[in-house]
Amino acid sequence: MSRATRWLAPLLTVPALLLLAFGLTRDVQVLPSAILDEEAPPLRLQTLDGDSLSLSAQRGKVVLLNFWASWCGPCRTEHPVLVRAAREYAGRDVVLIGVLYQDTPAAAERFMAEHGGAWPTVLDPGSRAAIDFGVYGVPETFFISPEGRIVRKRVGPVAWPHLKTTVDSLLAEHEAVKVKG
Amino acid sequence: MSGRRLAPLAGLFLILTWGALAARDAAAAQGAGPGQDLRSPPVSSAARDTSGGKDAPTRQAEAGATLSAAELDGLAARVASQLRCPVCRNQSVLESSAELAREMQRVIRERLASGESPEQVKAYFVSRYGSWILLKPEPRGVNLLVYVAPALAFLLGGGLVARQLRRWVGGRKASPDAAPLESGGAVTPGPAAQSATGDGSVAADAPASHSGRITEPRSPRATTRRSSSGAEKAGASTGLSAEEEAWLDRAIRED
Repeated sequence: MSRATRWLAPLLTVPALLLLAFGLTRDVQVLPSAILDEEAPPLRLQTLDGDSLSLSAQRGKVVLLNFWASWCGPCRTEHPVLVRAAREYAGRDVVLIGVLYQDTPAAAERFMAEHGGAWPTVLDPGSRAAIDFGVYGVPETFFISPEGRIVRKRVGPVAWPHLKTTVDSLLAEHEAVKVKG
Repeated sequence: MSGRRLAPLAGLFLILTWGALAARDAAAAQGAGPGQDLRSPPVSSAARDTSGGKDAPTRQAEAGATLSAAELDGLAARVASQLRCPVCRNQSVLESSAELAREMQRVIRERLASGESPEQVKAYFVSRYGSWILLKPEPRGVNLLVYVAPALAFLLGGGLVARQLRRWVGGRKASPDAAPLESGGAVTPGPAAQSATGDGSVAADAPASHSGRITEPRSPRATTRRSSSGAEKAGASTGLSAEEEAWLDRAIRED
């Protein structure tokens, strides 16, 4: 083996192994999000009740923006967590907003009547809000700070501990700012 | 030696690859000309009905003056073919029949109709989904690896194959003469080969592996031996050296 080959082997194999180690230890289900830590895109849509709802009007509150559909199985799994969130954070600066993703208002109303939950759901014709938020599929939940910044995104059904930790930390931050102010 | 010869070639190859990529990207940035990418089907006719955003009418009117509906369809299809469908596996927005991909096609067309350039439309999707949404990664940062690695691997592989081939050919040239030449000291490895072997000993294929050729025999005995083989006569007419003729002769006989 010549001197060049002796150096060449580790020079080629080490980066290749590092690349493999990096690639194989990543969770392929976790997709990148370009809008984390960014200001939430403006959203002004009609609710199932026919009212107009704007995201900018929710400033000063922690917003849970949940993209869902009645045909989506994981959304069914997730729904009790959202019902619990709505109940536990009632009267606090927390707002839960559902965004209907590629579904009909009638099906969504049936779903809500069947599974419970009184938070507003807005319609998203043409999936424009979904594209604006970089949604891949449902369910997806965005945690928006009282300042209107997207602080966390959850792909797939959100679990109660995750939801509670995130909302509580955002609320604590918000209340600390309020006290200072 | 071969490495020294490969280095400028490798540099030239990389510069040419780079230049070609830059030229193609510059052409793409200027937008598709009429008739470009005719293979791509136009977006669904439903897309036409939905064109026009909140602040679009003026810009749309301007764009309408420069782009016909067919051109807009072609341009939208081209942009859609470069974006990854978020709900599919490795399918473009254009190819996918998923509802979200169809909506994305409409968004693309609307934005183009409102006067945005294809690059601006792509930038919008990148701002929402990250550079992951681009089927062809941008040639910058870590992404450069994707573009440079195949060229490097090709050069490296080619170099290794060339080196091995030279070694084989050199070995075949040297081995039949090895015994008599060694005794006559006819094979004279270059200084590089001697230093490369480390211990100073001369392997039969050492000169071939480093310089790719056998040094001319200096011993008059060896030369005489070759002349007597009769190959020199043939060499006079073919322009080959006596040594090459002898090797060729043996190779033919062996085959």
